Amino acid sequence: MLHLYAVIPGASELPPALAGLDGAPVRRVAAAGAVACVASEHAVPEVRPTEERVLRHAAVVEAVAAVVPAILPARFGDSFAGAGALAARLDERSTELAAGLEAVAGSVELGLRIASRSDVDVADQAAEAPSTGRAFMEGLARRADETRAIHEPLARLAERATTDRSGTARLLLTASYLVRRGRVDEFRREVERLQEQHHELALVCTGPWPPYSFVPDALARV
Amino acid sequence: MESTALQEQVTLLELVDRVLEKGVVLSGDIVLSVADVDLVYLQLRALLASVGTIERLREQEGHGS
Repeated sequence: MLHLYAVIPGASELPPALAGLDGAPVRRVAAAGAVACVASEHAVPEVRPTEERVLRHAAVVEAVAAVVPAILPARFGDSFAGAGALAARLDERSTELAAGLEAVAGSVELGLRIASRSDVDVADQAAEAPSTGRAFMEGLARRADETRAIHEPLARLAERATTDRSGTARLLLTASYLVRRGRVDEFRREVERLQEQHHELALVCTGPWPPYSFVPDALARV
Repeated sequence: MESTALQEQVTLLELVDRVLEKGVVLSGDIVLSVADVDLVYLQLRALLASVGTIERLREQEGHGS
């Protein structure tokens, strides 16, 4: 079984002697012109996720990302029976993958989480005082305005952005931004500036990451 | 911007989220059981910061108003 770590440009080389999951050597496997795969071979039908394997997978992606002009990270568990199957699949999707690599070349992903720091948050207020439905709705609208006031200036500094508002009452927003490498410092300064403006919220910026969140949509689905 | 410890904790959570839930799926099929995924998060639980912990850590660092 081949465990896939990433897709890279067809002409790119890997760092030498890179160790993958369970110490298996990481290699370029299959190439279809403009794209190639990064994978390790395992004698078992599947490699289940553990903390150690997840961290190693991420470490391999980071190590490869450091030496290639563009990379599309693969999700843990993207596996193939053999090189033939992988090569065939790569060939089928090579156009989309090449376009996906071009879209992320020269950029990195930055993550942002916005959490409420208020002692009594909107959901608690609603639970305690069901007659203040209007206050509850106004609270929600206020929170949406605040997260928008933070997200929009950051999105303007990015090539692309994704948001996820499905968090808890306290986790207001999780977002990812695809940012040109040369703009990362400017982006971080903007996060700091927005944090100072919104001291009632906690802004936590992470990264830079390889562009996990910015792979082609059609290839992100199971 | 943030303390090293806080940054590390959120970073670890974000790393696991990305590796398990984002990225390409070239094979079109990820065979991970819910139990497998839960186990990874359980193993990391001691290191993960809840949003409540983020707040407490921020206040301890003197970011409170």
